[in-house]
Order: sequence, then structure tokens, then C-alpha cells
Amino acid sequence: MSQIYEIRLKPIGSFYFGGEESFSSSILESVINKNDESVKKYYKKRQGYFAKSEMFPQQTQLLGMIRKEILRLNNKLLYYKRYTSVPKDWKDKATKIVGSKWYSNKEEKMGTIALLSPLYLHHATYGLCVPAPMDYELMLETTGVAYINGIPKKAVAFKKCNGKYFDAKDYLYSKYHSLTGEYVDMNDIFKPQIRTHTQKLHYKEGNEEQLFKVQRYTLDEDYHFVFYLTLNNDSYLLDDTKTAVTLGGEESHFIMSVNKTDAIPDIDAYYHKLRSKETRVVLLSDAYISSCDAKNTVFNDCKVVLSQKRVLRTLQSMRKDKQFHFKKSTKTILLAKGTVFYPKNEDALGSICAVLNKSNYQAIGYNQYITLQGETNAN
Amino acid sequence: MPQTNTYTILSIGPIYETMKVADNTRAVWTVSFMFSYLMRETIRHLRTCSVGDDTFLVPHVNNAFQAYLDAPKPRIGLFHDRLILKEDYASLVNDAFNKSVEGLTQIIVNTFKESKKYTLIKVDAEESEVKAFFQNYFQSYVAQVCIDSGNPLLELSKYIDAIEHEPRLAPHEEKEFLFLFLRLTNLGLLQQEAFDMEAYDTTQERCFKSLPEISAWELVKDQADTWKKEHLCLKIADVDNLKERIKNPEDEAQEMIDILRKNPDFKPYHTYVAIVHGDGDAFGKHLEEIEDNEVQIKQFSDDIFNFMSQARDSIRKYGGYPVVGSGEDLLFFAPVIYGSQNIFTQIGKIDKIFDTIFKNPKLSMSYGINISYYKFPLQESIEKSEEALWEYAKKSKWANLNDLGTEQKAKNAIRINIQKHSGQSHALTLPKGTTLYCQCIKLMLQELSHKDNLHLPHALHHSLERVSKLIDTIPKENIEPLFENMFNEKVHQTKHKKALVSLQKILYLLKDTSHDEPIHQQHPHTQKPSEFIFSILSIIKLLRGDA
Repeated sequence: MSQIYEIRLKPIGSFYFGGEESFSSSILESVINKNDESVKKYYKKRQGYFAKSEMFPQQTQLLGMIRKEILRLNNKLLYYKRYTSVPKDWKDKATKIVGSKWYSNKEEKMGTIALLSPLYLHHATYGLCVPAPMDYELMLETTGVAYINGIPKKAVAFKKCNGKYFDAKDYLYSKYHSLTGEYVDMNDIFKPQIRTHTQKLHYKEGNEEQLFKVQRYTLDEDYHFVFYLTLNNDSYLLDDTKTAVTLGGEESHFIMSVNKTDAIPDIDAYYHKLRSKETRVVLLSDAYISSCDAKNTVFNDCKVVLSQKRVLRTLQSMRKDKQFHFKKSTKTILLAKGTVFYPKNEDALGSICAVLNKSNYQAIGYNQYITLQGETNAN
Repeated sequence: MPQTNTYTILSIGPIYETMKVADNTRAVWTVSFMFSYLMRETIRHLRTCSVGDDTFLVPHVNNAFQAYLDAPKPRIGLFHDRLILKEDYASLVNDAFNKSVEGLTQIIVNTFKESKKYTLIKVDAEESEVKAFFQNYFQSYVAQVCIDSGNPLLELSKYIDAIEHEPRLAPHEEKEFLFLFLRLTNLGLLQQEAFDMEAYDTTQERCFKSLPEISAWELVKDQADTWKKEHLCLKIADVDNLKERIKNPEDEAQEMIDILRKNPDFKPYHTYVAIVHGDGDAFGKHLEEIEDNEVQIKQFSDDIFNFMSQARDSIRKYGGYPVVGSGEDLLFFAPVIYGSQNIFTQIGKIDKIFDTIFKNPKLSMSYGINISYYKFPLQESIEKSEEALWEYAKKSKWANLNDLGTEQKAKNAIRINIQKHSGQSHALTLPKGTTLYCQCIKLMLQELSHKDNLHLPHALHHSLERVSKLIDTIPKENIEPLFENMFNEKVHQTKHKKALVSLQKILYLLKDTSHDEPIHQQHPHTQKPSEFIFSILSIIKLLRGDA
């Protein structure tokens, strides 16, 4: 029987979610490897020294964590000295529960895991907090002619509530809002902590005396992360339980609380209060759009798109010769939650939604969006 | 009835995102030059399509400017990332920019093809992939609108500032090609564009110095040609014979420092480099005042261009290296000390050029300076310098300084960060054009002079640190008795007297309580008098070579 679970994650101390700014030197390998030692020497110092955490984990990290926890709670994991693994004769059962492989954007089979929601914030008093659209309290004006990266459109400007216009000194809106209307500034609740190391922690090569820095975050104690998990079978997770889990890197631990719930909170109602005269599509989570779709459909069909980019990479582990090898995937660019599309007309709106409707991404909490109909959607 | 005019504006990028890929001086230079090149070529293409020079508002294309367009050896990016024209040229501007991107992309492709000639690396990149990446990487935003009132430079910006947030998704996002190109610049074809437009000149030197060459320029510049040939100059023609000498930029910098340390005049400050960001104050207000007066707009555009040209020459004479000098933005790397000058006297020279050209007391320049060890990560230094400018110098507000009475003063300030190799850091914000500023500079110059009787006692910092809370709380009248009590040795009354009196004067200025509000109210970051003094002493220690 299908069941929805509300899963809360409360950080124990500071945490680290890996991003693009890391110690890795994975880029250029394809070029360097084609050349000799002198080339490798020329580029050897490319390795990063400063690893910066993201504020939020990737949905793929959440998926990996919850899959592992479900297996562990159902005694389908064995613990070895340096790793955990599913023994061969348990693989079939484990596959039925959580799927067989690490997530790839082509793989949809996740066992009993039907749906993972995006990750939100939750305040002890204000309740659920969701990402606000990046054009919050801005009004679109169009006039004249424009070419945005070569695509012909009308020129656009955004007027603020105070009558002035959005300019180069302004930043795109990046706050979270509670469903009851409180504003949450990320810089107020996520506090960076920088630790300096004098030894390299993860790589065997290089100068051991080099300084390395890691920036972690702490989360204000009144907040925690929350997401909603739908399982096709309600017997694999128990109601009202707490357990300690690892999520992210650099020994980041969280208390995970699991509670059954009848439904995912209706956040659509909140977003509909933010309607304006323009029809818009607002991303409720990070979203993947191929560069081809972006060029041919999305940006062509929109008056303007307000967005920021976010990078997604996955880490694949393989055991070979009794050792684990890790391989970073290639970079995938996502459009960040809060991105706003202004479609030119109804047909354009349909195209944008079609591009976003990718079931394999939506199943794990990406590509979630809402359409806010405006008073006019003429070009 | 107000007259309606049509204008076209172009903005290009992504400059900030690209700058983050640069991890050494040559790469930073390349980023700046690349975007300047794109703008220059866009202007050139427009002129070949018979867009008249009079049509350009920003930059103002007059006779002096044409010289730069036609026969430039600019060695730096001169052109701003924005272009403004009168009349409706959106489609033409879009096409001109696309052509300039094609041109730059071809330079990059050729650089990769010939990379083996210059380095040990053969960049084996598929030409079609390289082209596809760069043609999708560079961003352009063009808007053509009618404006019936107000300054077009201000009115047009709003149509660009928002749409610059529309992202471009390149098909191949790894930025390998970009990073590879930035690292090859010193020996690559873009150098030809910057330094010799006509022939491929194999006698040209490298186009950009390493940080140690900049920080220790006073030791490097007078070296004999043979020394330079051995340690510095890699002429393109010599590359094939000097394969072992092509090192990665970090090793190159380390070797340079090791060689310079053998010089008997080598001082600790030769390992520190100053990275300076500068930006004009009140330019927006000035543009509002001149509204749509075309003559004044063009004059202002000329003034900015002339100021930047002269500022760049002044920086080079000082031994510094300008990286960005276009629009109202200035970014340069410089030695902390060069002969009898230092970074503060150089800022003073730039300000003098500014005042001579603009002749407007309402306009000024604010600066953010980050002084750090040559090995300190360059990107962080640049970010700290930028933060110093925008978060401190630009936001600083001062009340009740002696010269201002009860007036409030904002901006026109310098924020200095010092990041020592030990990990210690100090920071200070100074309001320019005030007695406090003059007194601080005077104290620093005294310390740098050869006259011992102008120097502060050594270890003064430790003595004052013991009484820091006292310094912060006692009234102005008690400063002199405190100093007399603490520094009562004969040597303090003779050799160090002048210097100690200078320091006391700074404290008097900071503790002036003749008005209701406290002095040096530095919004939003207030510094206590003791913190201010310790920062000054730390700067002096570095300048004196005691770091």
C-alpha cells in the first residue's frame, strides 16, 4: 500500500554538501592524459585548495541517503571495515526495495520508491518554507526591441515596488517564504564555518605541507530540512522514528525523523497568491533542461527568463581489485529553484511545460514547477 | 512635447564567471583583454557598416579614440563591456557582435593548433567542439528603446541589468577549453593582438609578468639584459630551444622569488603584492544631472576614457600592471613599494589625474586594496580586493571629522586589507581628503624615509596592545599623558619623539568628542581607535620590511 512520509533532517553540528569548488582536479584529464609527463607537470597545480559547501544537498544525494537507510533499517546491508555493501544473495530483495544501481538520468526503477519531493526548509514556528520566485515584487515591462544571446525579443525591464528599476547593484531574489508569509534570508540562517587543514585529506599525490580550506555551514537551530517520500509499500519505513544518518561529505551527520503523513502540504496555494498580470512558470526545485531544448524552445519561447545556474555531478563508486574507485560524472547544468519563465503565449507555455516534464528527473524531486496564470499572456 | 529618441545598448559577458576561472596573472589579463577585444571588434564591424562615429555615445568615438581602434597596441583591455549608440541599430549590433565572437573563436582555435610551438603541450581539441563551446559561451544583451526624457545611459541600463540574469547553457560546460586558452596566453596568439597587430613578431617578450616580478619590480627592472634573458624573458623564437624553462606559472613564481632573495636589497615586502580595485563615486548622480545633454554625455565619456589612459600610464611607471581600465572600473596589480613611492602615493597620483580631468568636487574614486603574499591564491586576493571596495570603501560613512564639522561624508575612501603569510590579517578604512587621511599617510611616509629620527619604536604594537582598552575609553586630553608615561625613556624623547607625536595626532582625530556623535562612525563596520592604530602599525611594519 502506498504511503507518504515526512522526513526531517536536523544537522548535528556543521555540514558539508560538495559543490563545484572542491579539491578535485578532474577537469583537463582528457587533455593531460594525451600528453607526456612535462604536460602533467605544467598543469599539476590546478588542484583546488578551497572546498566550499553548498547550502542544500543535491536530490541525488538525498536519494542515495534514503536508499541506504531503507536497506539498513530492513537489515539488507552488511558492514565491513571500510564500507557497507549488499551481499550477493540479498541483491534481488534489495533491488525490489530500492532499485539496483546508483541513479542515472536514464534509470527510473527505484524499487518501492515512487516519488521524492524537493528539499524544503522547516521552521519550528513558521512551518514549511519554500523558495520564492526570483522576480518577487518585480513587475515586468516590455518595450522596443532586444536580442538576448542572439534571440530577437522585446526589451524588458523590471520595476520594483518603490518605483525604481532593477539594476546592476540588485541581486535576484533568493529568499525562502513560509506558507504563512514570513521571509527567510539564507544568509541569516546558514552560517559559514571555515576550517584550515595542513594536510591533504583525500589525495595521495601532491605537497603534504600545502594548506587546504573547507567551508562548511551550520543551520540556525530553529530550522531543519524536510522532504516528502512516497513509497509503494508502507512496510519498509516505520512511523515516528529517529535515527542518525550521514548526508554529504566531510563527516556530516543529521538526525532523521520519519513520520507518516496523509498528504504533501499544499504549497501551490501559497504560490498562487504571488500571481501577477503576467503568466509565469516558476521552478519549485532545481531543473534540468538540455542546452538543445534551452536554445530551441525555452529561451525562444519566453519574453525573458530570470535564473541562476546550479551544477549537478554524481559520484559513482566501483569496487575493483578489493579497492573502491570513485568516478565523478560529467557536469550537468541545472536551473536553480525560483527560476521564472515568462512565456510569450499559450503555445509557448505548453512548450516550456513539455520540456520540464521529464519523469525520471521529476521522480527524484527535480523539474518541479508551477504555472501561475496572469491577467494577460499576450506577446 | 518631449522629444523621443531611440537608442541601442549592448552588454557582453560573462565577465565575472570567466574571471573566476583565471588563477594566475596572465589568465586574469587574458580574460580582461578577451572581452575588450570583443567590444573593440564589434565597434570596428559597426563602423565598416557605415555606423557614423557621431552615433556612438559610449564609448565616444572621436579622433583620439580612433587612434586606439585603428592601430592599437594597448597591452590591456581598454573597452568597457557596454556600448551605447543613438538610433535603432539592434539588429546590426547583434550581427557585429556575432562576427567579433567568430573572430575571437578563430584566434582560440589557431592558438590550440599552434600550441605545440609555444609550449610542451599539444592541445588536441576538436575544432568544431571548440567553436561550438565559445560561440555559445559568450553572452550578449542588446536592447533598442525610445527614451523621451532622462539620461540615456541611465535609462537604457535598466533594460540590460535584468536580462543579464537570463542564462546561456553552453553545450559543453566543462570550461576546459577556456582554462586551457587562458594558460596559453603568454605565448599565444592573443598576445599578437595586444602587442603587434601587423606581423607575427617573434622578438616580442611575454605579455604579462608573474606576481613576484610585479611585487619586486624595483629589483627586477634595472637588472642587466643578460640577467633578464636568463631569468625572465622567453621570446617566442627561443621557445624551441628552451623547453626546460617553460614551467607552470606557480613554479615560475617560486623560482623568481628564490633568485631575487639572493639580491642583498631584497626585503620581505618584495614578496607582497597589492591588488587594487577602483571605482568612480557619484557617477550615476552626475549622469542624472546632465540628463540627455549629448554634448555633456560625450564629454563625460571622453573624460572617463582619458582618465583611464593616464591612470594606466601612471600605474605602469610605478611598476604596476593594469588589468582592467575601462568605464569607471579600475583593477591593477602593483608592488607595495617602488623606490621612494608606495601604493598610497600611487593612489594619490591617480586621484590627482582624476581631479585634473573631471574638475568636479562631487566626483571621486574609492579603492579597495588587498595586500597579500605572492603565494596567496590569486582569486581570493581579487575577491578580497573587490569586497574591500564594495562592502567597505563604498559603504563607509564618516561623521564629525574635524574637516567636516557635523557633515557626513560617504565614499571617497580606501579600504586596505593585509593578509600576512603567517595567516594574520589586518584591515583599515581611510576617508580620503581629510586631515585623518593626510596624517596617516604622513606617518607611513615618515617610516619609509631613511631618517631614523622619524621612525616609531620597534615593538610599539606590543606596548600599546597592553593598554588597548584604555586607549579606546580615555578622553582625548589623556592621550598625551598616557604616551608620556609609557614612553619615558630618553630614546623616546629624542629619536622617536616626532613619530610618536604623529601617532598621537591620529588618536586625537579619532577621539575628537567636540560633537554629539562619535567620530569615524564607519557604517556599517565601526573600528575602535585601538584597532585602527594596530592596523596602521601593521601596514607600517610591512612597508618597513619587518613583516
